[in-house]
Amino acid sequence: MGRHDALQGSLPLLVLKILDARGPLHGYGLTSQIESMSDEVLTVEQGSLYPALHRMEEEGWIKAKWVVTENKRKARLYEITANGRKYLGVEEARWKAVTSAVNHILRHV
Amino acid sequence: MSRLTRVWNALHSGQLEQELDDEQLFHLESLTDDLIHRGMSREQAQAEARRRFGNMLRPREQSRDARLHPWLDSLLQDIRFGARMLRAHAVVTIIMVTSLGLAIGVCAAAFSLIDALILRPLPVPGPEQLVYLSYNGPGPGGDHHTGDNLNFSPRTLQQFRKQADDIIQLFGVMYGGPMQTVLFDGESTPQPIRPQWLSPEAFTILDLQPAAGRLTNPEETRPAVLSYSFWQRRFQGSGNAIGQSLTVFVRGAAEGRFRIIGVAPRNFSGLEPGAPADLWLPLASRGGDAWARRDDVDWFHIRGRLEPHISPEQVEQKLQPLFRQLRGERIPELRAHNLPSPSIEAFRTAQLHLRPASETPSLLRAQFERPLRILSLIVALVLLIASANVANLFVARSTARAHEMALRLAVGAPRARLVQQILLEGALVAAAACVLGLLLAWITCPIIVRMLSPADFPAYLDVRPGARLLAFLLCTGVLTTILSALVPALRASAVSPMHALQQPRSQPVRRGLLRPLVVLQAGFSFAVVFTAVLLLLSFYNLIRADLGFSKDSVTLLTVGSAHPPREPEAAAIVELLKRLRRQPGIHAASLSMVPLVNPFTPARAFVTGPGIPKDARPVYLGVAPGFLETMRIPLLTGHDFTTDGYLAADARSVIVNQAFVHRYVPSGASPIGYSFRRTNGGAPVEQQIIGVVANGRYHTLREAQEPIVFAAFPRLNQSTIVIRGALTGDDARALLNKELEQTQAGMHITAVTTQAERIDSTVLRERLLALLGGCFALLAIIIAAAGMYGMLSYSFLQRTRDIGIRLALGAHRILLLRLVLADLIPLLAAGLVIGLLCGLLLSRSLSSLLYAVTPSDRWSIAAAAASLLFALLTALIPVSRRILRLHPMDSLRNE
Repeated sequence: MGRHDALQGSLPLLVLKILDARGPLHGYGLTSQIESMSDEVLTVEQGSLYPALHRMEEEGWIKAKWVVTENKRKARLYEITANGRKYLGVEEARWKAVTSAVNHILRHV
Repeated sequence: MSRLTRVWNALHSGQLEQELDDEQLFHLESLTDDLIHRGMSREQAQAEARRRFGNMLRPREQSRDARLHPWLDSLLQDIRFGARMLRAHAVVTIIMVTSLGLAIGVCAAAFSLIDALILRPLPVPGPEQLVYLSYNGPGPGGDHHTGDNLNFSPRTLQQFRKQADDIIQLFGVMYGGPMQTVLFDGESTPQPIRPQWLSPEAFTILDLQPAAGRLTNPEETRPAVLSYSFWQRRFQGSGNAIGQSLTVFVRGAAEGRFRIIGVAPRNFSGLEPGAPADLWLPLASRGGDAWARRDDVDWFHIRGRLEPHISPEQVEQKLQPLFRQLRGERIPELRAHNLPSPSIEAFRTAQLHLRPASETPSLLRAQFERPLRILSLIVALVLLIASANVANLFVARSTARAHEMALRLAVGAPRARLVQQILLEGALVAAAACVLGLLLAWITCPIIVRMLSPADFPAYLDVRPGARLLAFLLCTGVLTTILSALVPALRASAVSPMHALQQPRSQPVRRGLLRPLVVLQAGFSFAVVFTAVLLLLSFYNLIRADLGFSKDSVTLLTVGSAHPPREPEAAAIVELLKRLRRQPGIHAASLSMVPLVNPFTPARAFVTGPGIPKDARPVYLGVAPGFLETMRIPLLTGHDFTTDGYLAADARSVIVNQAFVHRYVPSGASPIGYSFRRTNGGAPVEQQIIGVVANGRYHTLREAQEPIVFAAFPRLNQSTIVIRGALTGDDARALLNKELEQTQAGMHITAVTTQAERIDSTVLRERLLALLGGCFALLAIIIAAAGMYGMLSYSFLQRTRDIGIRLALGAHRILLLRLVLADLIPLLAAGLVIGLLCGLLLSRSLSSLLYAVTPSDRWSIAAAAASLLFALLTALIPVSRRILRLHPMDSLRNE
């Protein structure tokens, strides 16, 4: 995953946050959302996205179902679960703590 | 997703992969759409999307692993692949599964039998607390038991109980012997039944729960308890059985009327495997309180349940002084029997033993434990041969698959995965073989049990497949998998990935493992065949032995009575026999106390006289006039019993065989008129020889040289009427019953059999051993031939080029066979040596079961060697055909 260091460890957080805010989305929708909301600063390669999604599904944070889109394609929609929300709360708090600590150091050194 | 869904996904990995593909496809298509939307052409967009998408395989594998158990997935993949490989080589697979399945089948059958006979504990709570009592040394009759003597007198049981009540709960049991009869109230024909007598408290001590009614009832003076299977057979499990009355006949004499109080639990068929009871009666019913104090009838076996934390030794110590005292009190009785003093001393000092009930020496067990153990050894050898065979075929195939293995290693498969692959194939073969084996055992076991049991005393062994058999099969399956596939797996996976780059043809054919396997196979096959030939010869000698009388068209009818017979019986017998001889279909008729060839219940008597040693105890056979003629026993000198003497109750005249004359009558003296005395308790009886017959196998098939005395026997009840002629079976029974009604009312026929069946039933064990041994030998030869074939084909494959060149140079094809054989012959020779050693060891332990064959019989050795040669020739046929058809150019072109 060398090229995606910017996202290291934070992909589940972003996915959960987006799913929580925007409701069910498929994998491609999630990449588009992350890319457009970060002004293309953060890009998600599908190579990390799907294994991550499947692991999160395995952990029980999200659940998936198959739907057929308006242009008759089979898509897999992901939705956040109660467990996922709980985890999101914890992770968000942890992320904020870490980034503020990092920012603090960057500002004051 | 739960653990379960991951297992589900692993089992349906095809569906999972489809889903992963679909999801990626959707992503790719959406991206392409977007790119087109942003102004790219379709081709550009597709190319760009694919570029951005990157490697499609890696994330897919990662997702896969996230969504299922990787190990389970690989396992299932390997199983599918293994099954495909096995299907692809169907012939080899069938050979492997069949040979292994047959071997496992015989193993499972042997296990079922041994389990039912020896291993499985009594189905009662706390079976480990149960013990049986025995002593070493002679019984009061002076019967020289070689091992343990289990028979005690009623008084001994009574005294033991008083003495050791606090540490052991004792009870007595008595077996009914052969089939007896029972008459239910309101019926007229008696039916066969197997009764057993038990101390009334036995059921309580055994802690059994009734299936119906109750097992003890102090208010019922003559209670009877039915076995579950008899209850089902006779009453279809109806509760109406309780309270019914019945009369039991023992050896034709009415034993008394009993009332059914209950039914024993389903799984309890008796105290010994193979000796089931239909009916349990209280011991006291055989003679009441007076009988319970008797000391001169040793008919009981004593069993007991130890109190907690009491060891058998403690009980032995507590009872031994009392036992010695009780035995001491019986010395006068023994002196009356004229027992030699060493025997009396041995009787007095006999040592009492308590042993676990699980080791109880039952009749069936005494007869079959050793043969079964030997058979199981043979069976184990057959399993080893079969496993070696499968291993052989795996090695052979893995040589052919070395290229595949090397390729898999080259693309990065771990070696463990390759080992797993072949082990799994082995496990698949073993599993299929186990299923086949289970089926085989399920079918053959009941047949074998039927063969084990004489017609007049059907044995019952519970050989239904159960958890114990399944557990055994599981272990066998694992063992055979390891035996047959582990080494080939390790070897196959040890190939170098470099081989993948070379031509598969140039693989070295490694036979390092094939060789010892072929040696072992040949050796074990030799041992099995050798043993089987010994057993077959033994059986053949036994059944072809000259009997000294004619067994054909002789029918035996046992007489029973519900009432005391009319006196005098001799007159009735003479009258009956006279009437019988006049009947069409009867050439000759007579009567004997027991049928000829009756090795288990010999009636012996001590005899004294000039020239007769003190411990002489010839077999006595009680007969009526005309018996010699009816059985066609040749009379050498003198004459048969006269009717007048018989009617006058002449107990003096006896007829002896040559062996008696040879051993006991002083040489030079004329045997006719020679006198001696029979001293079997009570007053001695003067005996005088009136005739001498040739030696014969009158008492047991195995012995023709035993001294025998025929004496006049004037009793009809419980005797056997012997008729020679065309009249047999139910016709004979009907006729006899009609005649009995006229001459001796109240008597009837309780059993009908033929002399030939009687003799057959004494060689059941030998017949079983011969038959099973023969089957195993055949199996061993087939498997060995398959093994040799494998070896030969690989020799051939390896030397194809060599052979081709020689052919091209003009060598004779037949001589080329030598090339192929050259590998095999030394192996077979080595196998022969191992097999001979194994076989001689086996046969030495068999020697007591052999008859008229020495354990190192040369012909048997030759036969075993010949059978191996036969296997070799059979294996050679397909290979030599290949050599004959080989075209020199083909073999070279293949290079």
